[in-house]
Amino acid sequence: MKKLIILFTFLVGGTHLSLQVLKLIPVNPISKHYSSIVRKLDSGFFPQKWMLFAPEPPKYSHRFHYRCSLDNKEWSHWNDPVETHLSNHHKNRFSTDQYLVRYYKDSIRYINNSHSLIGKELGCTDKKDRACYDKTIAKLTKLKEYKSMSNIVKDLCKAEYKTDFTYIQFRSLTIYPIPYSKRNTPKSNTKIITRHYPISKVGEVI
Amino acid sequence: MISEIKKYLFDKDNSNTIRLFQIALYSIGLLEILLRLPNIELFYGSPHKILESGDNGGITFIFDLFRIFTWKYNYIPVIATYIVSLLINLSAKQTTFSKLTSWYLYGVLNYYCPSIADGGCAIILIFYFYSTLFTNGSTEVKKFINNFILLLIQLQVCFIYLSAGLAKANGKLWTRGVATYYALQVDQFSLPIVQGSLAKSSLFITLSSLGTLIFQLSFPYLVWNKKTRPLVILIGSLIHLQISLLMGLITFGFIMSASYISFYEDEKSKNIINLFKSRPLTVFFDSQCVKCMQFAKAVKVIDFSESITIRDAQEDSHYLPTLHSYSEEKEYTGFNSIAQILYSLKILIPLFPMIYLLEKTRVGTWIYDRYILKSNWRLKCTAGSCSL
Repeated sequence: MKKLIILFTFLVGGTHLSLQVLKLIPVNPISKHYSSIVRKLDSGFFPQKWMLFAPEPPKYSHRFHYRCSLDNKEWSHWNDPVETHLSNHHKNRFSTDQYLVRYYKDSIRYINNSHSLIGKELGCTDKKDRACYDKTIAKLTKLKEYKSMSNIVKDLCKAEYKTDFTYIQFRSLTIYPIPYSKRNTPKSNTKIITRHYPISKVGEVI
Repeated sequence: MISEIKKYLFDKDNSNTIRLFQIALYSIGLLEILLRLPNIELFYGSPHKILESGDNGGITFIFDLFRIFTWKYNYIPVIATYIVSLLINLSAKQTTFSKLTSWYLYGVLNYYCPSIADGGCAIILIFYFYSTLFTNGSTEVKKFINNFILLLIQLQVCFIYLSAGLAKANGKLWTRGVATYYALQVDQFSLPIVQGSLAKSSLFITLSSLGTLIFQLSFPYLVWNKKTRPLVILIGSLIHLQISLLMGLITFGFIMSASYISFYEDEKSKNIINLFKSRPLTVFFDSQCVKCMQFAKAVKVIDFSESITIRDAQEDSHYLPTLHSYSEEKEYTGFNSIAQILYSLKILIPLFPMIYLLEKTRVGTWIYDRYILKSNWRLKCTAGSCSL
């Protein structure tokens, strides 16, 4: 019995650590060979690889703005849902706002990543190619991430203006910091790339 | 080498280190879920906004395991059960079942809202798993199992650093010493004051970037050496304190710092655990000293466990020159005495690490000698009588 218990612990603990090692070590013939098993057993639980900002730290960050309308003619101004929570998070590291910042930023990150991925799949290289853009958006709006984001915006509109809106829209902002070499140059500014997503009618897309 | 591993696995008693590790682990788990609580409705309550992590990684065996759990959108019982299981695990009544419950439910919570989880949550989940394999009891087999699991945790920590260090060594920004500049420019991982000033200092940026890289690559080797271990743990704790407070990654910073406990000697862990235990303490306050008596009164007010007995230092001149206290036949004087009083006041638990640091570095003694013993009001206390 004693031997069985020891064997069981060895097997469970050892397998668990081996999976971790295979997942964490740089890609090599052994890790490649076992990658499908590792992914099957492990990815649901441990989505992170703890690269800890490696091989490079993030070179840009995501934000989004949203606006709401009752009739698709008069629109509210663009609102930033992150700013207040970010400010609270800066003031108090033990506040719940850290999760809200992460929640909103990750939601738009999913959309931006999917947008880029679909664009690549469709071979959209020219940013001015309208037909390709339309195809990308048509595919994107069918994704669960997009619907989830639209629902988040719908709820944000309701919370902000205490009204059920019919039309909503959001835009993503990808913010690039001033490059390190230009950090002390007075006229340097952060670069922001804005991407507008189509107007959604509540009840249709969502 | 092999004989040392054998000795470690079969002979060493790590029960206190394991207990301390578990207390830290489940406390961080509790803190993490309490921070999520005010917004659980947003994170888990709306079916149309839930984005399961399976959407990003494909269906796997583990995802299927989660799907069996039919809690969908019925999140309150799940969270309540999770919190109860954490509280049980923090107590002496923890069982394998309660630990397994914490592990499983935390996995479920992260699965249904992956966007709020970070690397710290993933590490907590892994440590929960290892923790379920720890056994209660002191038979030879159980001791062996516990030592083996503790060794796995230590190896896990080393592999986290090794993989991160190797990956960083391939990154141009890290090897050029400018990576922290870019990390600190992301508003989510920074503070306005840091983005404005500290991030512009080339000395800080280079030292922090290269320092992190060197630390992560050297940790897996230096931590096994008894002489370098305390230094490596100290540097690591400071780095993770910075990550928690400066970068705002509270869970990650805390759990990585807690992971160092697995490398503690059992005796050291026992001393730390003892800080949290209620022990009767007798303190001698000078009844002729007004400020001393005001302090004594304040202590009595917040001594909810009634573990402190106050006596008059005037009973014996031996107690007069400095603050004396006794606990379990052991005598404490000066700042050490103040530290014992503060440890007895459980309400001050959040301050324990700071008090411990002040005590062990003797900075507390220096402050006590400089600003209390030699203060004007104290110097006027001569021959047992004080005048203010």
